[in-house]
Amino acid sequence: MKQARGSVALAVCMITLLLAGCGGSGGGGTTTTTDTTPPTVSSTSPASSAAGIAPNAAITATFSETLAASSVTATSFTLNNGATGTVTYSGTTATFTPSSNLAYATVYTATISTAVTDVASNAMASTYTWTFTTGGLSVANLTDPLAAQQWGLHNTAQNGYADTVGVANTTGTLGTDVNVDSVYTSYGYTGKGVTVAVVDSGLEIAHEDLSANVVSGGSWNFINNSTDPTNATATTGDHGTMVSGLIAMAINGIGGVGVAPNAKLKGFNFISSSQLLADHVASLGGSTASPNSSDVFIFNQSTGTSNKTESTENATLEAQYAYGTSTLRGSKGALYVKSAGNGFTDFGTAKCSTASGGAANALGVSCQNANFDPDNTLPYNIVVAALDAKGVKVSYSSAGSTIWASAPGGYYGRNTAAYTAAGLAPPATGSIAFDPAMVTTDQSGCSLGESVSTTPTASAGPFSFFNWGGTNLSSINLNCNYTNAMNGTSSAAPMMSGVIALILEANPALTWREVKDILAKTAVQVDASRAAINTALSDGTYTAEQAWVTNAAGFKFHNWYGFGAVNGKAAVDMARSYTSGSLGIFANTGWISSGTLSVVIPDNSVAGASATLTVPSVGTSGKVEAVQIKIATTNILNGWTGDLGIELTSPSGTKSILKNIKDGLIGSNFVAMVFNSNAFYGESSTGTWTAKVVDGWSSGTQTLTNVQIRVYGH
Amino acid sequence: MNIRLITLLITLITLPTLAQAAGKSAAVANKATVMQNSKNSTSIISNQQQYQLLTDVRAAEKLGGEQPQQTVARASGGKLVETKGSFVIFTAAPQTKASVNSSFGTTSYPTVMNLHTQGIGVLPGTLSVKLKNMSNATAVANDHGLGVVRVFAHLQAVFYRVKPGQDVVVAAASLSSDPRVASAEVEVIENVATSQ
Repeated sequence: MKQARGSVALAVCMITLLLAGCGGSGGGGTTTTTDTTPPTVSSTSPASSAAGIAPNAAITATFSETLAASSVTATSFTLNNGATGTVTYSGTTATFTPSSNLAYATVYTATISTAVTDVASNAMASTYTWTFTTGGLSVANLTDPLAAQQWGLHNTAQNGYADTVGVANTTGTLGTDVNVDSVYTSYGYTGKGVTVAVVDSGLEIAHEDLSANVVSGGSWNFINNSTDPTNATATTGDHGTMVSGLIAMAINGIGGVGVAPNAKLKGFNFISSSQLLADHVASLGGSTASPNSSDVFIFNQSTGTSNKTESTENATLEAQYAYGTSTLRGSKGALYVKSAGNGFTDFGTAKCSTASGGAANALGVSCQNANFDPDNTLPYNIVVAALDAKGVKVSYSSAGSTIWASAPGGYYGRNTAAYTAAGLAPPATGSIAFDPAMVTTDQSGCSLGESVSTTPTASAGPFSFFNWGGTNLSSINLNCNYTNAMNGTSSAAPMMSGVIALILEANPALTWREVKDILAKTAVQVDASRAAINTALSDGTYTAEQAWVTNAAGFKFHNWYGFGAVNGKAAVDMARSYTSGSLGIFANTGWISSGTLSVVIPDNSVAGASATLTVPSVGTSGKVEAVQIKIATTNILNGWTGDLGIELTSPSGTKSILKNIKDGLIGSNFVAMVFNSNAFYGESSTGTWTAKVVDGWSSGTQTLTNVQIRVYGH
Repeated sequence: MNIRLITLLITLITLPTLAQAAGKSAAVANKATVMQNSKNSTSIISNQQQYQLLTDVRAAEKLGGEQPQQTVARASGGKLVETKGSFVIFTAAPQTKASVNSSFGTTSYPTVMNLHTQGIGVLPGTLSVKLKNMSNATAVANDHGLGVVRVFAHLQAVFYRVKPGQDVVVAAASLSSDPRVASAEVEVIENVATSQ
């Protein structure tokens, strides 16, 4: 083929010489050399058989000689597996730039066809191909520029654009992140096929890092009855948009990534609306149209009520949760994930701080118990507490026996220098203000959201250079579409929702209770040396909050952490081999009453007032999943419900504190408020349970008049 | 968590904090006054809680970007009592009917007080109704002059809304006496959810 082509070229030249002189302009006797050598590929990038290639890498081929530029096209230089891109040529190098990221952990074949020619029109002698393999999905391989600072996803002791750093989760078992990097690397799970509803203030459905994952027409705005819940009124940040980013920011080379970056999102802006009960039911799976919430797998509720007095669950809402867990997702049950609350130190009542007459802060117990929100006391909700970047409870995270597990929530993400640059005095060095918060999506643009301007305003901040946006920090947040200041148990819940999305992708057959079981069994014990909180009452020392307790079924539990920090890798590993059906049928004992009591609760005494309740086997195996109690009290002389501590001891001897003494609850007496404990998980329900109510205050006269218990299990 | 609120706590900027505290004290005083004025008014049971109608307290929803006092002014109200989610609660001319009223484009809602918690609730004009047969949902609405908000057949529940001027407590009583109705409750919004 090469010889024949040379002969043709020679003949063409001779004919040309005869007609006009071959290559000469003045008949000067110039000798012309004919190029008959076809071009060859001298090198490629990536090299042939290379592995671990970044998904956004440009593919190049360098040739032995200059090519005819017009021959280097998207049809002569291609990549398989459906990859498209633009092809350019410069010098002797042709470049294929993928139009979108290549798939992770995939073998690609690049091809240079014989349509490529040199300037003398010599074509490639034969098609040239080579292969390379893209790297597996991992945070380190992501091209999304903010991913490297998302400590909650993969803690490398980065600072999240704050001043301080957390603790690198080098073993994957420290609880300083959700430990999902090895889930990506090992299995490639990213939440595909899982729909998560963000029941919140809104969802900016057109956000550059969310839109790819938003279910088209699947969201709902309860204010204007449309499918666009983009928050039109918030100016300082849309909470739901920030929450959504933590779940499912897309892998797209911009912004950050969510825990489940291929999960689908629906946004229901319930808390921005009038909060009608009908809309609440509709946003939690009770509706098939306007919106359709019935196809949702996971409902993320980074919301809560800050009730300061007794509050009770609405029966219709409770029925919806029961329906959602029994009927949705093909009767395997939707997962309801809920924030514990942010009221450990304060939740808007004067009963927290010593200065305002409260005692919770001084004692060191949670001023707001997670049980104060009636939704949190339902076994259907997975209640999540918040951790800092060092794997310890953040100061604000409400504690309580109804917490299931913990996840990263973070602090405030600020920079000392941002204060001084704005002419303000910063908080003291070492303040939690400078500890990492969560990096996530913010309202788009520099006029809305937490990241709002290149020029900070005085008292309103922002107090991090990241949130100044614009050209600060090398323009990493140029258009102010992201924030590094999201925090709260509002952040912990979506981190948990993301992990559950990975679990459900790994094993879609799991029921909601099986997912809870996996989370409990795989959680990481954090802050293991946390001591009990003891206080002196008039007649002895009272344990106001216990240290970690190991129950009779072997589960470790702490009121600050539930079963511990979520461990994504361990949970997914267990999910992959989990035998469905092992938990049996979900049952409960119904309310079992002590009958009418009249036991004075002694003031400031460890003795307390007790009542025993005999409980039968719940379900067929008698194994406990959750225990609710409610007490009734009368109050004849200036007592507060906040004075009272409530304990419950199981037949196996495990004690759980369902409400701390001296917390922030106000009100004179209990009538029907429900408290839940998960501390007895896996124990036997059968036998005598003992409820004890302790009055930690030295004044007021309160009497215990009734105790009721309801055990859920199988 | 709202960063602006945290900023207030951390930076402890004195003047705005004091002003806020003063405003809060005034609201508490207003609340005590209106509760005193509403003794012996209509009693309501909702979600196992006993409420009493606050005859001279109304609520209106904030419009986007509106400050509570602006809402009060738009609704021709008196003193600001408190805010509750999207609702602003304020003193108003006494009304014996628990009706939702619209005037000059502003809708105002009746309010109640929880006799146990002393908390104020808003009556948004909706009723939570359990029907014996869900196929009667529309007929029941028509017969009682109500609008259908949402039907949840799986819960045997339907939510109705009263028409402007219609007394929601009277409507609940009327529904409760309807043999097709298993139960009917006035909806009370007392505890609102916020971002955490």
